Amino acid sequence: METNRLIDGLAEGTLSRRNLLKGLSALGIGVTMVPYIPGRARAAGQAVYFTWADYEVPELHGDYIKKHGAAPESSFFADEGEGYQKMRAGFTPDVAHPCSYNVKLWRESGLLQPIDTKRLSNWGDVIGSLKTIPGTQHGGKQYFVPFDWGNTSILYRTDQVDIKEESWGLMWDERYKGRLATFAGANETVPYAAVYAGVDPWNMSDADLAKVRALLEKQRPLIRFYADDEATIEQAIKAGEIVAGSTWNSSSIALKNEGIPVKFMNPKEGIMTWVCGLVIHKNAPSLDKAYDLIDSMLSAEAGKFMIVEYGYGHANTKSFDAAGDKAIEAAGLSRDAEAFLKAGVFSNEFKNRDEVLKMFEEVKAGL
Amino acid sequence: MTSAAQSAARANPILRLGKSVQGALFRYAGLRGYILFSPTLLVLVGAMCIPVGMLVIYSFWTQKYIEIDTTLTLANYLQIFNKTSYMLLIGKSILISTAVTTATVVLAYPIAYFIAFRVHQHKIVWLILITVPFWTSYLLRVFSWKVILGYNGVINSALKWLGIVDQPLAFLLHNPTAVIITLAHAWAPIAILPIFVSLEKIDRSLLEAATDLGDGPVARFLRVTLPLSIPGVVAASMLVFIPTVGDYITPQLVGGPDGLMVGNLMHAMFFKANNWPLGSALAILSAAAITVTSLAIWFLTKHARERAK
Repeated sequence: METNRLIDGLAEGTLSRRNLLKGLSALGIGVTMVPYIPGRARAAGQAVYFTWADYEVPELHGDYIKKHGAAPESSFFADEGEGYQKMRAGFTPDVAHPCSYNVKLWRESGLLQPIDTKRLSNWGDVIGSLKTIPGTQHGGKQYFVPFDWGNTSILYRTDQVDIKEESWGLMWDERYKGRLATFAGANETVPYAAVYAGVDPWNMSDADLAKVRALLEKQRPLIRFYADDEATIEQAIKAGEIVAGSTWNSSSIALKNEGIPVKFMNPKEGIMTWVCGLVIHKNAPSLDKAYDLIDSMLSAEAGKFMIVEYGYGHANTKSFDAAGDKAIEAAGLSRDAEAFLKAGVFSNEFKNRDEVLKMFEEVKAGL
Repeated sequence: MTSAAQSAARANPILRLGKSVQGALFRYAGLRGYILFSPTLLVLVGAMCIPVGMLVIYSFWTQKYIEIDTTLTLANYLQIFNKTSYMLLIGKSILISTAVTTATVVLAYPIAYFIAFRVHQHKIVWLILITVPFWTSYLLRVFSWKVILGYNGVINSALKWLGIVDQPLAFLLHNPTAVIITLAHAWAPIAILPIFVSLEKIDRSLLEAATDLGDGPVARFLRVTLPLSIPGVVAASMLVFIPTVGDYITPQLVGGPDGLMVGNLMHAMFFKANNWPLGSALAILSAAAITVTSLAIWFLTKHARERAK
């Protein structure tokens, strides 16, 4: 049956049921066959890397690409919660990229395998204090290879914001109502609210939690939107739609490079610091390539790229020599990762994680 | 000779089984029917009944860190009912969807009317043109609206260029209105097609009869065309209303804090907060609310039609 006749018949209402069914079954067969038609050649048998956006660039996987002739296959999550659910539902990447505070949950959920650091040629150059972050080791085994570290803070327009001192209080400043934005993830937004409230974000009692909740509820009407990614916040700051937003170091570099007058704040209550890194899935299909991928990302060349282009710290001490003092200073980083991380409020795991996450979701939905 | 007889004997039970199956099929029409639509039945059970059943079961369980406590409990429902704001959120989602449905149907009706009554040739071209927005990804359509309504978007740039405003209008985006506009546009084809079909089916001689009996165009429309096209309007309303209540992508991208809907909370419970049972209970309750609202619309239109007769 010709397609035209099918469509004309359908439009004029003269199509017999038999012909319609014929057409529909042809469509059905067509649709079910599509997956079997050989499509775009997939990168054959490369390691699957499950990560945040912007980490798939070849500059970070140089040694891997040299060795295997192709880049690893990247798959993305918007936040670790989404990545976690996807893996629990059966997605099996080789390497994933959580932050240190999620490693314990992921390991206890049976998603990770211990990492044999002897197989990583760059392990010796990794900053010592990053190897022993609480929750990333278990039973004397390493479950997490630190990769990047940095800050979460407020990025604000210096031409539009008038403040006497740098404080998280800017996120509650009534003068900028409707011109502020923050991350939709509890791991990013709840800790600074706790710090501003003067409570320990990682060990909140019920009273502390209520205090933080009240602050977040007070913040909600001032917020233009809750963002799932930093790009949305960057664009809004650039356009002048918002004057300040919580974000990461890379946003600061990106906007400064575009000539936007912004400053990445160092709040008096303490800037948030974090370490993220690489883990290997328990059932990683290409284990050897997983190690190659991690090793290539630990290299000084990859580290230099992280520091210069994204403004994030890197786990390899040699990366800082490669990047040079000028780049380190421009990014607001330090060669002494331990001091840098301790100078701020280090991102840990919430003691009462389930409670905190549920609380923040309720606040966002206006409950 | 012997081996042939042996193989015939071995084949016999199968033959007999085949015969009895044939007999059963012949005798019971119902069995024939079930076998004929068994593929559909399997898909329906596998893709609808089992997931919905799982959702119901999950809603009576509780999340304990990583594990799920499978003791049956009403804890999730109690938690939701203890906080009126949960139900208010469902109510708000239903209100937003009602607004979306009204906007979509009101805007879709004239288009469907035009194609059904005014277009005489190449109707199919018109119908295809209407589905053009559906050819691009849903996400792209939402982003297009972000571009149109955005701070430096099409509307604001135009207003600034015309000198009407000197500061971009902030109220265009990141609020419930933006959600309504975006959803109404995205779902327009879904509403146009059923209304078109019901208008197309109307017997034109009824309209001529109404004219002969002295009805002007407006009275004719109100007394003949509109009542006869109500089934299409109801179908369109349901098709738009039901899926938009649970939408979470549009509110997340254009809604701002006040535009967030129950779908966002469900999504967050399943993903960010890792609390499937609470998410399931929310899903069940919002499905119940949708059912009640849909039934109400259906009864109201049925009642109205019966009174009109």
